[in-house]
Amino acid sequence: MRQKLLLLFCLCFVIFANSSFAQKRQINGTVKDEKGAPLTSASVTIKGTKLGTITDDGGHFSIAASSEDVLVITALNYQSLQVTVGEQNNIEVVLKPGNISELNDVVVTALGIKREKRTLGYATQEVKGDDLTQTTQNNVLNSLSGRAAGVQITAASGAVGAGSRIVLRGNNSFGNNQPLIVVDGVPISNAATNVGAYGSVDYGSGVQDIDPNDIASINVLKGANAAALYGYRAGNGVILITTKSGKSSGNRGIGVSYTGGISFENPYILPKYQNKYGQGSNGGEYVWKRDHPDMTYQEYAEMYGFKYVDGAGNGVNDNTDESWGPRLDIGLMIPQYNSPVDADGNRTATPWISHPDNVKNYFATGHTIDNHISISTNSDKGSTRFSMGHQKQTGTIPNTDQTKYNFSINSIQNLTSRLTAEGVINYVHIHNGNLIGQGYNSYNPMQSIGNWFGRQVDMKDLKANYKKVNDDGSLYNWNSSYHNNPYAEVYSVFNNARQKDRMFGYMSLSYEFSKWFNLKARAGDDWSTEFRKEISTSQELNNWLAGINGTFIQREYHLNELNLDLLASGGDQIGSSDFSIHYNAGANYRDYTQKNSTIGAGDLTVPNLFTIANAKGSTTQTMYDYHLRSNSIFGQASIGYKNWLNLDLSARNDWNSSLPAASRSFFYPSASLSWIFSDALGINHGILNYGKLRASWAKVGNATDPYQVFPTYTPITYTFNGVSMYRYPASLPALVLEPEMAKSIEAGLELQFFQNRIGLDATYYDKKTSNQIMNVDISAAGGSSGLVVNAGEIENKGIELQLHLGILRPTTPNGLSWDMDVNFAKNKNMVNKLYTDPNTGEKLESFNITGAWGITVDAIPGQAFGVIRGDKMVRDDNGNIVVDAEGLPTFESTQVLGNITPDWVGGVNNTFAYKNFHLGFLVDFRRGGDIYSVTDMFGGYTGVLAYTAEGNMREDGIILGKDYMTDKKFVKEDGTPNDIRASASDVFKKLTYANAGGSEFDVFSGSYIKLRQIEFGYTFPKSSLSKVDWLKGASLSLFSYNVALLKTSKGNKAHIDPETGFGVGNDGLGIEQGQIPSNRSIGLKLKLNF
Amino acid sequence: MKKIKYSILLLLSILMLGIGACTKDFDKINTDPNKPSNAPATNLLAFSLQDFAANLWDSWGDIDEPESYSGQIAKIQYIDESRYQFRTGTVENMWTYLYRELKSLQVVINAAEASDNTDLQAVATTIQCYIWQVATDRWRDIPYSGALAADSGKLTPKYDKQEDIYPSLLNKLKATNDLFNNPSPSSNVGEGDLLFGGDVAKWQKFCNSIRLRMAIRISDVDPALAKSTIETIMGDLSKNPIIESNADNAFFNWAGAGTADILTDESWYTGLYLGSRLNNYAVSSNMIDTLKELDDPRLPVYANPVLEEKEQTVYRGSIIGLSGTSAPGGLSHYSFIGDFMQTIRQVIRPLCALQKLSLFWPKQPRRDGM
Repeated sequence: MRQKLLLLFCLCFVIFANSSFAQKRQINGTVKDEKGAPLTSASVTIKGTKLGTITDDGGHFSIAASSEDVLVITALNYQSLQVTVGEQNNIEVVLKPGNISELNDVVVTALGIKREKRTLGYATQEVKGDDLTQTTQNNVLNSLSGRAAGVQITAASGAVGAGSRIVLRGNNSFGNNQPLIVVDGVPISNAATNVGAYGSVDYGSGVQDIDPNDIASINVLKGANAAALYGYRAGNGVILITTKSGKSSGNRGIGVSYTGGISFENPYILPKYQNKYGQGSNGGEYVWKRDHPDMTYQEYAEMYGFKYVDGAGNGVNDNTDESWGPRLDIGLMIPQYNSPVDADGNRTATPWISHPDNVKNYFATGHTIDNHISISTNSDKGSTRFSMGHQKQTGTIPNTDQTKYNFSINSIQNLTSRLTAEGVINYVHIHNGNLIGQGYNSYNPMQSIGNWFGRQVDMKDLKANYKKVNDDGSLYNWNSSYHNNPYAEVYSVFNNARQKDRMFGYMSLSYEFSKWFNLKARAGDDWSTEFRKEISTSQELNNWLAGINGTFIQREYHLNELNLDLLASGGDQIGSSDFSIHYNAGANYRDYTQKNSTIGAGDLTVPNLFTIANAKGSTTQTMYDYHLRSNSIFGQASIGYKNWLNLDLSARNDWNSSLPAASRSFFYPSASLSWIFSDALGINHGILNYGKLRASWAKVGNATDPYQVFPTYTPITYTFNGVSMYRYPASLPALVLEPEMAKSIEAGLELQFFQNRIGLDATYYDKKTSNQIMNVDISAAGGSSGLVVNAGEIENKGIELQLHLGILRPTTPNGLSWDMDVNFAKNKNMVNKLYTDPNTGEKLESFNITGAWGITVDAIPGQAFGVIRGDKMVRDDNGNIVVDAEGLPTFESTQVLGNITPDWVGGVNNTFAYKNFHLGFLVDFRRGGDIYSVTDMFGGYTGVLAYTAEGNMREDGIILGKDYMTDKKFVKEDGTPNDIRASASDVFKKLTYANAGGSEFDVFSGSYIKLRQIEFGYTFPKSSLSKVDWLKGASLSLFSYNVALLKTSKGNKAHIDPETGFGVGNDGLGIEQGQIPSNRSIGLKLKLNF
Repeated sequence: MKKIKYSILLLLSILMLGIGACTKDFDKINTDPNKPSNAPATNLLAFSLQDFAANLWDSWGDIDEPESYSGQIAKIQYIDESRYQFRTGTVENMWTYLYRELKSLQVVINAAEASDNTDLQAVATTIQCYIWQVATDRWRDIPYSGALAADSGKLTPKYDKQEDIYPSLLNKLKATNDLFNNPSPSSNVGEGDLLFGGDVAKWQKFCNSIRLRMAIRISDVDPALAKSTIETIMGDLSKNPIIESNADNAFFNWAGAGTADILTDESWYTGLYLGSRLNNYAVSSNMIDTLKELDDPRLPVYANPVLEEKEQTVYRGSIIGLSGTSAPGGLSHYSFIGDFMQTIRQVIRPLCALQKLSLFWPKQPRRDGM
């Protein structure tokens, strides 16, 4: 193989290398519009080469060219023009106004290949860098929300550093559904550590390391068709990021630009809590009147409801972390955790009053300060850009933070007219002093204050006293059995720190032998190292109760991804015919290694000295090495006819180390066609000025994670009295393992009306991912509970619409303009089949994706990905809910309650411009996609949420169907309407906890409409800057991100953010647990150019 | 210009040599550096013993299920089990634990047999039979003869009847006793014997005592087999040694100093303390009232006084199977499990002992299993 390839390249060399070098001379020129005004920043390039320049403020340019060269002059919003140099030394060019850039837009496609968008036979959507830097978002993915059709972004939470999940065209896979992230043609790692279905600290994912200020554009390659050249990793689509270079700054000579932003963050969606009843049990007025009508409510409250002694159960329900206690704000006097102690050491009774904003008061105002400066140079010989960014963020959860430094250098040098050297290096340093734990965990403050809480607790008092130590040595808190003081949780008893260093970039050398043969060698690398240390001190409640002197775990991650590419490309018109051909061919070598290790201790000898030598008893040590290698060859040819018909063919073969020898080589092709019928048929009248049809077919193969082929034994991570323990594998390797295959067809229509004032881009796609490599559950009686198999098929089909409306166009210069962009995507997902056992013919009925609290999220054949199953109220034949003798419903388990897959997602972006002002706002929306909310479940179980104390439910009890859930019919076992009264706590505990697991009561639609972003900006006119001659441009803008949740479904009675998740993987999909509230950000942004 | 061309050609050649379509290292790259393809049999034995002890007697496997079902414990939170409602997860977990231990032990048995290590083979078979018995006592009919063979493609093993499992286990243990009597010279249990520290004589006593226990357990339903088993053993105790003193007891000694994830502490301690599950359980009123009635001195051992009335020492049990979702009067109204049972990290759990030490074990041998 190697010899053949070499031979091939040598052959190419001989054929194409014989070009001569003509004499060059300096040509000067000017570019003007029809009115004679000079055009700044028009691009002047020599056709067929990369040599080029940009006009200055006077429209002047200067370029070295020979007489045979053809200059291509392009400018935004003007028709491009080609001029043969000939004998002229001074060239005057006049450009006609014309097609909005889009039509001749050059977009970046797979492997960093730039192509005119009109020739593409598949959907790709570009988002400009400017749109990504309107706010101080540090995760660039969040800025894509609503801006591209078919892109579903789910920001995990409002916690500093947390990741966002992105899915293009629906969930394809039982494993990974994240697209490939490519920066400047080189794939980078978007690795995220598994946060698990119950959550943990979310350290985000790799894409967050990229500074949005360095991004020139993002191209979203949604389908397998667009991404086929990236091969096995591109089955979920590709996010192509192009960083800014010296050239893209548009300035000739040296340019300096500064961007600064500051913003303030506050939670904008908080659950709705009740403020009528406080901590304890049995405290409802209904229960009092029912059980002890002889007592006064004051007597009853202290005897049966709540009375604080030590918060550990020695009082009356004083460690109960629920709010089913006595009524607030009616003059009751009850001993509480912060009541003064009298001479006898007893707590005195103090007023039992509500603190409605106690949860809200917990949060701090977070802020983000963002500074970025770049210096760029640009000349005939090449361009260089150097940039530095600094971002400092503090969270709305107190004492959480992130500091990020970005440095990048990007240089392209034309060493000779044919030899180009490029180098891009990005260095990122991230430091977190403390990050919050998420999900249902004791280190997430929302677990207590949001789900298990005494509603009367005064948060300000907890804040003022979180350092205070009680006489018994425990920390001052409202509860001494289960929860830490929420401030101690973030300031003292827990800490999750992280430091990460990362470098990524590439170096390449390319030589243009002729227009038919350009050869490029490129080495790209992505290297990172990360330390995390998670500790809990001896004062942490569970440690304190168990006499543990503190715990810690330190995690280390070392990642390296090396990509070596050899790329040949070329193409031109064939002679003087109407045909043209362009090709790319290449080979890729990829080597990915990951080395993780952890050390930790479950107890310490000297309290709170968090080092391994100080460990008491057993320690944990783990090591994990991961190594994957692949080799690939690929080729793509694009055949054009008359600039209106284009056929693309591509093929790729991969050899992947994760597959067994028999199947590790796999081949897949693709084809696409684009037909600009408006040009072909000569349509270009007042209404329709551009029309294109496109169609494509593609197949993409995928391999899997390493080490799934050979059976291995699993070591237990700790020893027993020094003896290592090994277990038989929990999951068996596949008997036969083959590559996964995604097959996709796509068709699209692009139309432009009224000289591009209205544009429509519609796409239909149908994609089947089959032969998936998945770990299925098998009967543990076989000795292992899992088996890796090739099985299953998921189909996603849908439509994507992009609509551009130029609603208003200025009639005078600087007049009012209004543009609207609408993105809409409807995706229909279907799990077609799962595993069928080849021996018994037995079919796997469902595959578990994730789950928690008795709720499972499954793939079931014939249904969309992510069926939520759990406990459902038993109904009679007429659909009425049947209650038992206590007036409570009964539940049956493993019933379908919903589905996580949304019906459609989209966004509407409006941009107004008037004089030097502009205003933009973005609304995005999602329809469907059910959620199981654990906040709704525990918040209902514990009676902290508003819906548990509405009306007179706690005063008079509840007859289900009459006083609550009046839209449903409840009947007794004999079929007559329910008339059995039950206490509110019995009702809500039953509804939420059902049969010891999640029930339909807490499943609701995740539909939302959000006002995602508003930006109002002012660009200083050149005239006002003329006094400051070193300043070339300045703009100032005011923005808000996550402005408002305009609409959420009626079922969202807890009022959580319906956009919820953990990390970037499939874990916890569709399940909300102790969500850290999302933030509204309001800030200012200043951009200066020197 | 030529210089450039040649240097590029050279560069290319170097690159091509490096890249190639070379896959000859791929099997090596795909060999897991984190896990062995073979593990020493004795360390698999260690896992099986620890996993069994840790999970069978943890709060879920022990207190939630047998102790609640038999009524010594009354749950006062998550009351399901006290109402005889199974929780799927708890049952599925126990199923997975027992079968993974059985499979690991099967690997030990096969490896020991192949290397003529009779002691290791006998030890692994003894504990494996014990676990089989626990499994069939817990669930009656279970996959047995066709089980543990997923690696040869048998993913859905058939269920065997308990009536067939017991005789088969007795046969296996009988053959195991013979193995103990005729050890091969290369016999060596190794470091993994967390139960008897390599004392094979004690294992043999354990083996025969299990045979006796099984025989008693089936005495009502298969008296002939029970009788012949007991007569065989008791007829020749030199060939069939049994546990005769407390020193022979099969006690699992915990290492201590674990965490909720490092399972080296006594399992009740792990579950109740490290897992914070203590206040899910009250001692049942049936239990407390009976002990009070008999003026039994063990009461303060089994139960703690209620927290609510600290000044006096009050023992108050909860009724079994509370009807509401929470315990009337609050959790501190009831007696929790006694300190003796919950706070000692290195306390031992008897697998098989001369006398029943704990009331939390069924007083009478269970005869209704079959």
